[in-house]
Formats: sequence, structure tokens, C-alpha cells
Amino acid sequence: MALILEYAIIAFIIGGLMGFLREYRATTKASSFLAFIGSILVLIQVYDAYSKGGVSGSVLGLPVHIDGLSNVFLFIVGIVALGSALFSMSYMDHHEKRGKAWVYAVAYNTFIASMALVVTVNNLEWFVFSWELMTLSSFVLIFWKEEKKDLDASFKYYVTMHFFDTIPLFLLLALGSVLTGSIHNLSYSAIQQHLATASTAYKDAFYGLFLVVFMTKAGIVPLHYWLPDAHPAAPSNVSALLSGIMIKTAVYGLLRFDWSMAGPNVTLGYIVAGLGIATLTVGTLYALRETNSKRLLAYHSVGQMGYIWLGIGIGMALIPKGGTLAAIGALGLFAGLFHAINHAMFKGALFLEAGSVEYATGTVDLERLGGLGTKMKVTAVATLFASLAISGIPPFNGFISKWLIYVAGFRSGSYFLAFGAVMAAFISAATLASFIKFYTAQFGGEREDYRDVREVPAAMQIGEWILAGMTLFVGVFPFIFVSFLNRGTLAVSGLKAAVSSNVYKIGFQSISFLPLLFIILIGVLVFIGYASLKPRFDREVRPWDCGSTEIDAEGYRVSAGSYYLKYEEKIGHFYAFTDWAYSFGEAIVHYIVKVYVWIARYFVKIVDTPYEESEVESVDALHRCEVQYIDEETLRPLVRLLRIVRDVIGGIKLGTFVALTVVVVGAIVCLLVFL
Amino acid sequence: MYESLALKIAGIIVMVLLPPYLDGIARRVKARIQYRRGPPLAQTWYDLRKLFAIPTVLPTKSWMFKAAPYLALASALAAALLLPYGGHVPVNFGYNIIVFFYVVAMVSVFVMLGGFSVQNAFSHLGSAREMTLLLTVEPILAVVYGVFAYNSGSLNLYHIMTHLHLSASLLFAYIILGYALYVESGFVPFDVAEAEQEVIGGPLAEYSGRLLGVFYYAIYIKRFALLWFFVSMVTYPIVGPVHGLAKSVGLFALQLLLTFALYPIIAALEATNARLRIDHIVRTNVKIFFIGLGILAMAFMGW
Repeated sequence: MALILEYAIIAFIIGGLMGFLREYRATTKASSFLAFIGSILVLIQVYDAYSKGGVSGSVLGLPVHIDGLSNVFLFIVGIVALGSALFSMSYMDHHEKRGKAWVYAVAYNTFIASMALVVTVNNLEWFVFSWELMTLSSFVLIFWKEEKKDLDASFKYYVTMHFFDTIPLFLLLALGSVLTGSIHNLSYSAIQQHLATASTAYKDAFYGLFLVVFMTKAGIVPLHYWLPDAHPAAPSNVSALLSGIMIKTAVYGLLRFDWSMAGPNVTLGYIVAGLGIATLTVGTLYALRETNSKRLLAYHSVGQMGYIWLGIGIGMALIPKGGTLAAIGALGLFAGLFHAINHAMFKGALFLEAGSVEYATGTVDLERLGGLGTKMKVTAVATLFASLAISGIPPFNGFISKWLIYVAGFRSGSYFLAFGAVMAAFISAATLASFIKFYTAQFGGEREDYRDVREVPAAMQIGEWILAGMTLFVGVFPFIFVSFLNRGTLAVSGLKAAVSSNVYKIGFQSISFLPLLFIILIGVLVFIGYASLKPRFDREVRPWDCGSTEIDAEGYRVSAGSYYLKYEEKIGHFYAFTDWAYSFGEAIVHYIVKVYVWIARYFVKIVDTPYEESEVESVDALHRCEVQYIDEETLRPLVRLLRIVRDVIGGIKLGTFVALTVVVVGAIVCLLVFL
Repeated sequence: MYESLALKIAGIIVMVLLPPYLDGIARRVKARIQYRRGPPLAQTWYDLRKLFAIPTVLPTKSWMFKAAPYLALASALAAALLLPYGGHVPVNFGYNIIVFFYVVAMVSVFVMLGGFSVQNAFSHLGSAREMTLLLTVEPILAVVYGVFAYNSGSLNLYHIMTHLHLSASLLFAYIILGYALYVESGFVPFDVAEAEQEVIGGPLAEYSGRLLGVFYYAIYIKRFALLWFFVSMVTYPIVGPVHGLAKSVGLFALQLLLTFALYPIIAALEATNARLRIDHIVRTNVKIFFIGLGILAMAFMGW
């Protein structure tokens, strides 16, 4: 029997084929709609696999197995793609002047389909295939706007992925085929079987290579330098997919290969937790000083990814120790997975909202935005929900998963992991600071220059609200996800997290939180407060400016860049210290490009093309050159000959031509006679 | 059963009525330090009642401006409801240290959201300062969670209060906890957010009348909750598990007495200090955070 996933993939393929509709709006709307259908089918598949306790089969001939772990990530694919696809139907109108709807249609649908395959296929060969397809289609989407700065971002992304993802993955294919003895036998179970008896050197190579692959894709410090440029470069609906889903596939990979397949490794656990701590700190503190709303969100994706890795690292480090520590480890893993789901929801929602503001006002610059709260009420509330969720304010979903990560860290009995929990709690406050800025800089105050701004179309609002509403829903009813997530932890580690839960509460051992009671309590208290002290209003006035007549009302505010200036100055050493990560990343891209350029120049010398005069040593220099394709290069001598022949022939008069013909014919006759 | 209910109700009465009186005590103490006679103890209540009676002038159409005070009040009350009064928690929606501090932080969140909803630079400045303050206090509190969790083996407040054992790191943790709570309450010299003379009231600059009253009330309750938390953390581990009515009532009385005893000290500190600048506070708190990491390390070494 065919899996439902197969129909989902078919829907995505048809969505891609919608590129044949020639009209821009028809294409984007139809392809987004089919992506929407596909996402619904993906979610049905998630439910089906959950109720059956895992399914296997084939999707268009690819071997697929959906176990508890795959299911968690397939859910992420489904839910974020659902919101994004619905949102795209209207949002893509914003980019109409760019044309190229068919590119969008193909790449967008391929991107979602490839991510669904990445988390479900059951064979390393197909995993690498889907992974590369995902990288390629996301690259096309990042570069789709074709603005100068975006080109550089997409280039950086592609080179980084090429070097740190593709090369290690192909090495891993080789490693896998050496292990199993055949390139055609790379199913997960076969690799796992052979890996169990492999030597430590093989195992270490396996751990290490996969760690690099997934660090790069997840944007883990110090390999995160591509992410804050690449994510904002894409259209917002795609950014939601990039931050919501794509970087999570790296978490899936880490759990699938480095843990479930190769077995838990305590050292690796501490490494993963350490990378998580570094990443959450660096990502979030950089986000704090960002004033471009999409870059801010992208940095937070780095930061939140750190939380997920910290949770997983705690699990990986503690589970092998057994006993109570294993229970706490399982809680860490559970919390990491939970945070992955939660992050997908609120970050998806936030990118869609940044897209809405961009749609309505045409800018993502927090310094210039403001006063949209009264104009775009629906978007404002959705943003507020998602912002509170990512800041971990109860009773939103981000609170629950962060709280479980703290609990796991503080109870780990290890100073290092407890330090991680301390940093996580600290960074949670930094996240709050950053999102207070994100929300208030866009929606706070009142501004004249955005007087005519109107709320975005209904499809976009619904797209946002699917994800923003989920943040509150999951936060209030986390119990729904407990057994779903526990299937995932079971598939990874063979342990279930001992999370106690029912309709009212979620907890671990003696600590618990009752989100439903909490929200009812807050509601009741607000009601009592409001009812007993009902606000009474006098007249409306302009804000008090101390009687000055000189201050212009628009500028009478604190701009987004200055909110936490004093704080940023005081921790300036931190920024100075971590800026090396950027120079590191820049240097990597620079040197890889240098090697490529050298190879290119070497071949250029052979085929003799006009690049010689210009000094090509960097990407910028390449931009200045005229584009020449490889076939042009090879055929160039022939073309040149034909051109000469044409010029010579074109210049000949009739008499000369006749004379020449006579001579040539005579020569041929002579030759024939002579022979 | 009835005694539990009675204590819970007593707790609710205390958290609703007492906070403005505590402020009254502080005003009286400050006045005495300055050789003034000082207002009556209920003066803060009179002020609030007057504010409640005045309609609010609206500087914006934003709905957040109107909703924020009530949300802040609800959060402050929720935080206070999570604390033990004579060993009984009025509403237990998660009796653990992290939930408590997050709910307390929500008060600041709504103060800031209210402040940012108006187009007023002073209001924005004060709100950003409030956030900076929170940003520097939160890591110190996180260190305290860590010490308590390691020392007692849980994050559950009841478990912490009954299982703490005395060690050097624990004493230091109490000191930085007291400091962090003092800063988070926004007492002088850490009142940079609302600094009247500097940023004309900060996030509250545009608030007037009843909404301002609600905000003040919320802030008094928040201060009370933080102090009550500290008092509970001091008294419960000493008294030990609570059984029986007599002990409960005794403990409740002890909590009240200690609260009354600590407030004049706070007032004296307020009266004898001048407001710090925000960058001074950031620098001090970052230092204390690093000291805190040392204390956490001490705890893990068993000291």
C-alpha cells in the first residue's frame, strides 16, 4: 500500500509543474496552494504513522521508514510548510516585479518535498540525495531575489554547504560502502549493523564527519557565519522554511546518525552540549544589537538552535551513565526535541510576520518602522504571541521546553551542564530583551509616516496565526505532545523521558507546571482587576514632550539600535572576542574560493580566454567578469575560425570569387589526375 | 483542611492589603532619617485611592496601553499566590523556583510593553532601562537556581526549603539572591527605570489616573512577592517541615515579622543612597554574575 507521504510528494511535484502556467500570480498562487495540500497530507501522514507506531514503505521508489524520530521532524515539516504555503499565496504578490514565478514554483515545492524526504528516507544514498536537493533548492530560493547583497549571501551559503556538507557526506558514502562492502547496501540498518563491529577509527570518523555536516547546516558556532546572511536574503515565506525546518533537519541527522546509529557517546555529548552553550550565547547576544528584523530573527535561529543542542547534549552525555542521571538525560533529549518543535512554530510565525510588515510597509529596518500596532492589529497580536513564546514567557510553548532544559541542566550533577543551564536562563532574558525590541520597534508608538498602512490579506493572516496560535495551544496543552515526543526519544535512545503529564500539568519528578491553571488564573485576575478598577478615560492628548515645540513627533522615541546600547557597550569585550568567528567564516569562504579560482584560472590558461588581463582573485572580481560558459570556452577557437572565414568570404568580389573557384577546382582536378 | 483554607485566605488578604502599607513604612522610615515627621502608614493607600478615582488621559490609541496595567497586576498577584503562607500555597500552578521568577519577570514585561506603546522618548528610555536591569539580574538568579538545585537536589520550592543543608556556597548564594531581589525590585539605587527626576517616570511617564494607580499597585505587589520569597527562603529551612496548625500560624507570623523587619532596612538603604547610572549597574551585575559562577563551582565542589 502506498504511503500518504507519496501523495504529498506528488502534490509537491504538481506544485512545481505549476511553473508552466505563464502568468505570475496564477503560478505563485497555484504552486503555493499545492504546497498547502502537500503539507496537509504530510500532517495526515504524521498522524497515521503515530497511530500505527511507525510505518515503512516506498515513496516513488525511495525506501522510507517513519519511526518516532522521523515523525517528530516530519511534523515540523508539515506544520511550518502549512503556515508558510498559505501565507505565500498572497505574500508572493509583493515580489511580482521580479517575475521568475516558475523558478519559485519549482524550487519552493522541491524544497519542502526534499525536506520531507530527508527526515524519512531509510538509506544513506537517498539521504545524501535528498540533502543535496534540499541545499540546492534552498540556494535557488535564497538567490531568487537576485539583489547584489543577496547574491553574496547565497554564494557564501552555497560554498559553505559545498565544502562542509557535500564533501563530508560523500566521504561518508565512501565510508559506508567500505563498512557494508557495497555502495548499493547503504540502508540505515545495514550501516548500523556493520558499525557495531567496526573499529574505533571508523567510528570516530563517522561521528566526526557527521558532526561537521550537521554543525554547518544547523548554524552552530563557529560555522554559523552563513546563516544570518542567507536567511534574510530569501523571501520571508522561504525564510520561515529555512529557520523553521531546514536547520532542524540537522538536528534530525545528529540524532539519527551520531546517536541512534552509532550509539551514544559521552564525549560527543559534552561536545554537543558545549557547542550548544557557545551557540546560544553568541547567536542571541549578536541578535540583541541587530536592527534588521529578519537578520535579528536569523541570529535568534542560531541562538535557539543552541538550546536544542544543549538539550540533546545533556541527553547524550547522561543517558549512558544510567540510573537517575539517565532519566535526567532522557529529559534533556525530550526537552531538546520539544524545543525543536516549538522553535519551528514560533520562528516560522515570526518570519511570516516580518514578511507581513515588509509586505505592508516595504521595509524590514527596525530603525525606520514603528506605530504599526494600531494599523495591523492581527499581525501585531500574532507577533506578540510568537515573541513571548520565543522569550519563554509562560504559558507559551517556549517556556515549557526551555524550563525542561533548565531542569535537566541544573539536575545533571555536572558543573559544565549546570553552567549550560545558567547560560540558557541568562540568554532567555537576552532573548526577551531582543524581542521586546522586535515587537515594540515595529508595533509600539504612533507614527504619521505609516498612516496609510493597511493590514495584510486574509491568507497571510491565517498563515501567521496557524503558527502563532500553535505557540499558545502547545503551551497550554503540552501533554498532547508528550507521548509523541517520547516516541522520538525512545527511537533515539531506547529510553522514554519520565515526564509526568495530564490535561492540567506537565512535570518531571517533584517539579511541575500547570499551564492551564496558570492561564485561567491570569485570566481571572485580569478580569477581577478590570472589573473592580474599570478604566475611565479622559480626553486624548499628544504624548508629553516636556513642553518643547522643537521636537518632531516622529523622532520622539528611542530608535531600535539604541535600546540596549549601554549594555552592549559594557559587554563589548564579548563582541570583540566572538567577532573572530566571523573572520573565521569569511576566511574559510575566501580560501575555498581562492582554490576554486586557481583551478579555474588553470583551465582558463589552457583554453585561452580573455580573463588574462583582469586579476581574478576574489568573488567580487568574478562578478566584474563577463560570464562565459564552459561550452563557449571549448567551441571558442572554432567560432573564431568561422568568423574569420565569414569576414574573408564577405569581403570578396564576384570576379575574385570566380577566379578563386577556378583555381581551387583546377587544383582539385590536378590532384585527382595526379593521384 | 479548614486551617489550610484559612491560611490561604490570610495569605491572599496579606498580599492584597499589605504591600501599600509596606511602602508606607518605607516612607515613614525615610522621613525619620531625614528628620521629618513623615506621612501616616496608610498614605500610599490614600494615594492609590486618589489615583483610582481620577480618569486616565489617553496619549495613544494602542490597546496595549490600556491592557498592560491589568496584565501586570495579574502577573504580580499570580507570583504572590505561588508563595507559601504558613506552609500553604494559595494557588499551586507549579511550585518551583523557575516558574516563580518567570512570573515575576512578566510584571516587568508588561510594564515595558505599556511603556513602549506610547510615542514618547522618556517612556521608551525607561522601558529599555527596565529591560537592561532584568537582563543583568536574570543570570545572577540563574546561578542561585543552580546552587539551590545542587544543594537540595531539586528545583521544587518545597523540596528546596526542606532539603537545603548549610554550606559556604549556600550562604553566598543567599547573599547574591538578596542582592538580585533588591535590584529586581527597583529600589534606590537601582531605580533607573522609573527615575522620576531623570526620565520623568520612565515607562509610567504617560500613565495617569486609574491606570497609573493599577501599575503602582502591581509594582508594590511585585516588591512584596520578591521580599516574601526571600523571607520564606530564610525561615522555612530553619523551621523545617510544617505540621499542625500552631506551627503553621507561628511560621506565618514569623514571615510577617521578618517582612516588617526587613522593610525598614530597605528603606534605610534607599534613603542613604543615590541612584546609580545604568552602565554602573550593568558593570556591577556582570561582575557579580562572574562571582556567582565561582559560587556555583564551590557548590559543585561540596563547599
